[in-house]
Amino acid sequence: MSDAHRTRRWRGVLVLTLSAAGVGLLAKRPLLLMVSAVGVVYALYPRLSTVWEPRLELSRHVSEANPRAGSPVEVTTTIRNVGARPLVDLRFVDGVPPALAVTAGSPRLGTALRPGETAQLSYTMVAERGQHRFEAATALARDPSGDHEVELTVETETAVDCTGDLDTAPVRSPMRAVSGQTPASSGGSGTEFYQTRSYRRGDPLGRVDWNRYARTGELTTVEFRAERTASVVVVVDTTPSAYRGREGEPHAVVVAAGAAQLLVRAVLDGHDHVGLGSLGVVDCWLAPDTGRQHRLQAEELLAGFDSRQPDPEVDVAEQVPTLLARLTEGTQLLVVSPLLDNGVLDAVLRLGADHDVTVVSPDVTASDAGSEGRRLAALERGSRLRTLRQTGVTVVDWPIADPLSVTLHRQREAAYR
Amino acid sequence: MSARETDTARELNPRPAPLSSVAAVAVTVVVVLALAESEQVVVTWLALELTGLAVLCLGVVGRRRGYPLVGPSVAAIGVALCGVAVGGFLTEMTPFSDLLRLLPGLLGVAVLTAALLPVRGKGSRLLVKFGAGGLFTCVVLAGLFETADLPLLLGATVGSVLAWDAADNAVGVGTQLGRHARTWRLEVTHLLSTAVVGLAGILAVWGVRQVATTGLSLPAFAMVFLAALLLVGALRW
Repeated sequence: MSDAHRTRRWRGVLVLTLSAAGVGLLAKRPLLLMVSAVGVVYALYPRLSTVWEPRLELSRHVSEANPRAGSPVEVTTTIRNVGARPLVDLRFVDGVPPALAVTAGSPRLGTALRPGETAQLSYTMVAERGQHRFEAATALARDPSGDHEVELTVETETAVDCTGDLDTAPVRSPMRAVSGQTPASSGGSGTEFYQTRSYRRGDPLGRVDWNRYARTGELTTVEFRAERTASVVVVVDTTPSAYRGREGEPHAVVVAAGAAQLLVRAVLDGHDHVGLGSLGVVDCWLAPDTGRQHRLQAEELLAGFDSRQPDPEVDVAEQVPTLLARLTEGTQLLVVSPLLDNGVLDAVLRLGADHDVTVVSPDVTASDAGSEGRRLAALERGSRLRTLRQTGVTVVDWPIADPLSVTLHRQREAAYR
Repeated sequence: MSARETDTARELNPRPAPLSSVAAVAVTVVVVLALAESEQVVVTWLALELTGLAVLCLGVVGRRRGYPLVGPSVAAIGVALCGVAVGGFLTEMTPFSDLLRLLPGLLGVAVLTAALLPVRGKGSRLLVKFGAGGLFTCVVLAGLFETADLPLLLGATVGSVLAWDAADNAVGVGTQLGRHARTWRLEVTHLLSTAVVGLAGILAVWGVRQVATTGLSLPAFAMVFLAALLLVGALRW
């Protein structure tokens, strides 16, 4: 993708040239006319030089592909001019993942490259929780005069996955805590004993309680508790209000997408089916399913969440019926939302009327040096949490400084007590 | 507030690129000195002006590096020194014609430097144009008063174009890539190509001058020049 355009930065030179020539003619000074002749050469210069669309090859090396949150990651990007022509003026900006901050060095470079020559730039960025993909890098080539400009994007797939450290947290499967509390109330085939009943024709022979038959001569069949596969949809809140965060930290959508990733993994690890949905700016739907391919697809979708920009023209209330229509009966919902908006609260309440809803709410309002506005936001969020709890929705209040699994573990222990 | 806004380290720091900025100011000073034929009065007051600009630079950098009170005071001293320099030049430069023809250059140096020393923001292209325009005015006045010969005049013309080009490029590179980025290669290539084109222009004019030994009359030369302009017009549009 490229488009060439002219900067016309040399226009002023022609004006000065003409005025010098005018003065020279009026005052009869041949020297000034000769000065203008030099000006004419400069006025012609941009016309005579052109820019060709650069052909660049990009390779990016990341010092740590699976860093811990908060640890520095060194990125080394190498640009190679694979075209046949030299690039006299190349300005390059690397596509740093939007949620990550560069702390040392610069992801930008200005250079000139002969054919086949390479240039390297390196910088350090700090890893944040979640999966981060590098965006396409932008390159701007100019001709020597700077009058013609071509912009293009260069891509190479690089990603930083900073979700691994959560798996080492004390709870192996955080999902169990929130979804495993509804045992099936019917007998069937399973592993847990449920009841015995009198034998009916057609019952499998392996289920017949032969010991009892030997003892009493009565034919009975043992039934086990049926195991049902739960179907869970993880819904991420991407309303404009969620694109907020604490000073110097990624906004709540990044945090929520990271948490959703963990939840998806956990649900799949529990052999349940998982789907993906969203409320707000991002329009995302992945029907509940299981398997490796499905998991990769879900992760891919979640990795794209953080780069969107908030779009104020979003009506969450309108999205709820769409989401409800997509859900099958008995599907559980796991809503990840910072709860910074009443629209989301209403949406959750409406979803909760038909489905089992659990809200995981990353707390992005807490702050050491709280301004009045922040304190107010924290109060409002607290009242929303209470409203949800009163209507029977399970709410996990997650202080984002802690790993999610620790919070879920704590919540489960509190529930058993 | 989004993460993008609070992120200070990623900030571009869009100050004009140092290498091109220094080159632009240096070329401007050289051109003014050459046009003044290194006259003692000019050298003295220009030196004072440059000192003032250096002090101003120190003050601006100081303010940015966390001296909110000392920085601006030092900068004010720098501005005062520049004022003294221009005032001194105005009172001491004796032939009025010399004063008139060198004043735009002296002011040009100050304006160009101020444009590249972004007291706030990212440098000003408009001030760069004014500064380089002052310098070029100096060149035109030298031609008008016939105080310079052809090679000097041509050299000074190329010098003022070079000063504008370097300064404008410094602002552009600063805006797009920022001060943290490594950009010297791009800057040097750009400056060299502009200088080479200027040299080619000088050689062309000089060559034509040598070939036309009989000497064209002014009307004839004007016609040739007009023809050249029309050719340029035809090529450009």
